[in-house]
Amino acid sequence: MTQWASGHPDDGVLLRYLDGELRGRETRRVRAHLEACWQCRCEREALEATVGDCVEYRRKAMAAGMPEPPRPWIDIYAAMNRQDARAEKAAIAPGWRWAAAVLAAGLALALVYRQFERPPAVEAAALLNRAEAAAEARPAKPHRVRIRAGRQEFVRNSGVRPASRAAAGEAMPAGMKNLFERAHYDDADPLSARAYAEWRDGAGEKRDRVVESAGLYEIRTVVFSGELAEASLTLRAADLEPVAGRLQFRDDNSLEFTRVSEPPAPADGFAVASHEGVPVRPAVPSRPAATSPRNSASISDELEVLAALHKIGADLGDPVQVTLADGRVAVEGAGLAPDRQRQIHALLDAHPNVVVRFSEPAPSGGIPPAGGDAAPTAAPPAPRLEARLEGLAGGHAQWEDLSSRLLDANEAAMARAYALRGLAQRFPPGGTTALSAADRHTLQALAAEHVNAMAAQVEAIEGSLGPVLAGLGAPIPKSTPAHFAAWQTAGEEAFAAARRQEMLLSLLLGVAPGTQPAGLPADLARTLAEVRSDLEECLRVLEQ
Amino acid sequence: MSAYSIGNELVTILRSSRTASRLQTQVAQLFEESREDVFRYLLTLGLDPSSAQDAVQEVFLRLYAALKKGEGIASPRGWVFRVAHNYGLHLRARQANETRFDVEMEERLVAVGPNPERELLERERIERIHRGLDGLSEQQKRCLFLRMEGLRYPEIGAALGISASAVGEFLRRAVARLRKTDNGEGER
Repeated sequence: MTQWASGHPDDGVLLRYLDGELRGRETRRVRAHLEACWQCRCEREALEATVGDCVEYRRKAMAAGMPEPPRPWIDIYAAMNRQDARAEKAAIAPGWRWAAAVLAAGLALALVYRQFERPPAVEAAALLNRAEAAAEARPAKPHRVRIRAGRQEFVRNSGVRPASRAAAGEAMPAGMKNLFERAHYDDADPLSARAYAEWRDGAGEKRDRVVESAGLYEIRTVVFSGELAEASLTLRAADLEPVAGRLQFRDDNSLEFTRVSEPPAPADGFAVASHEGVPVRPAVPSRPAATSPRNSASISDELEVLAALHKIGADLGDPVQVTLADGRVAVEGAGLAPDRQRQIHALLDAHPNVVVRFSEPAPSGGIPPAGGDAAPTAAPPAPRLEARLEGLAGGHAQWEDLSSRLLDANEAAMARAYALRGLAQRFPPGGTTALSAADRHTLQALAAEHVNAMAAQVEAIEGSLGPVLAGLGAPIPKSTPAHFAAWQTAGEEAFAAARRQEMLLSLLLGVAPGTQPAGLPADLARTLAEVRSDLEECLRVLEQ
Repeated sequence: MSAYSIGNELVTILRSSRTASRLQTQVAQLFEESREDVFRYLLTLGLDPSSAQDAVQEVFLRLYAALKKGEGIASPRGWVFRVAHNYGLHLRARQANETRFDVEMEERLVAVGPNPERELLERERIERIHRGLDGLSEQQKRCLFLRMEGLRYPEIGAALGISASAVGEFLRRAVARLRKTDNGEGER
């Protein structure tokens, strides 16, 4: 029991006593004390007088002096009955459930329709700006764009100098060139946010619409005057990379451009499946429990294969591709070391409906190096910045050591980022409904492991680089909360941010081509925080 | 459908209808007893009389819905004040750009009694308490108003999202401040 400091209960104890809020023993103790103590009895009376003042105030200044309700009170019985009637209407009889389903489907259609009708959630201009910034942050890499105009088709080598194209004998058909000129649209790299933004800026009166679906943004711009009637650009939501575009002329001519997927180059050290995206395949539901033996592979088999490959780390950079098609899970690899091949065979050969195939890497089928277009080389950090970095690290040797540790951590983080993104694309948010609880658990455990491992590497990068960035006046900010409904979306965002982080880090360390922009340290600090918050959000959703 | 199952359904309907009727009586009784108190409390939160009246009605209908859903509500009056408090603050936040409703003391103290001298003294007393209340913190004031409405400490705590012991402390400070005002010890 609490001791009274002065030998008397304080005013708080007395008030609680008067209010009946003390426990039994304490109440008895206060009562006994009051019987014996004049001072406390007076204190009690003073308290009661103040309480009396409050009661009086309530009666005279509040009850009598406050305004009356402006209307008569409702008939509460009638209101409750109306509420009951509404609730009964809402609870539809079982026989009418089909009607409710039809109604729900109608509503869903209406919502989908509205999705296309309502004003763009994301402003086209802002999205194009972001896409341009993302393109600048990506390593400059030549790519091929297929352009179609009616029956004419042409493949443009983009991302290389015009002189290189000319040297390679690349000449766009005249009719196609003429269409680009009529549209005032740059034909050098038509499938780029920059080209679209430049055309859009020059277009007259126009209306934009941005639609997001299936991991893609489609920007559609309707023009009210000029040769073009409409143009569109489709961006991958994860990294804002353009994947398709179209220009529609008023005279029914059109130009379409799509990105040509390059054959994977296993020698580049990245996972084949990771770089080229996961092949889209029809949803195959989970294998029903206790269904065995099986003649056809299901999504459960695919998950089992992925989990098995993950156990030996074959999903972290090995050029191994897993596809579920025609009732089989195909595991294909190119250029794997014989030991690794044996390991994978041993792991999967006993698995029914799984086919393991390995091949030697084909000679590179990429864009032939154009004359005079030397491969970009890594630019060392600008001398002044390099000196500052070395100074902050404690000397040249320390900076070299720190750089290697950062590159190692970044490589490990990116391996996880690609693996996480692979899972997110293979099992998109809407596609996991066909999974059984056990399969969903396996998938989430795999994803969570990648997230945790990636977060640990990002933390290591922050730990090593944080003091250096702070020394450059760009401390790593705190995580800004990100909110995503699905872990897949958060994972894709984390991947996109990690790609930017990799590019910026490479620029800072002088291992990537390109000049170091003035705000590089601050950009890198912000991006690191972004990766961290995306990963935190991804994990939060996974753990729900 | 068998006669047995029809009979069962009928019994269920009758039982549910009886339960609904009992609940309606219970809620209607509390509505009659407490609506003015809740209305007044909402005015102290700064709601205008029309919004406060709508809010009171809404709160009692919510109470009915909650009881009908089978929610165990130990103190319906405490529940009503808690929901009214939160709903009132929500409405206030939505009307943030509007002037907070307040009634001037002069308007409140109209014709307190027939004896002018006594009336004057009474008026001075109420004005003193009013000044004292004005000097209280928002939380002290809310604890005090809810206590005036007869709520127990845990009920006040539930309404304001604080512990019962914190309510005790706020009330202690509020009463101490009012006493100081009453004794003419100045208002901090």
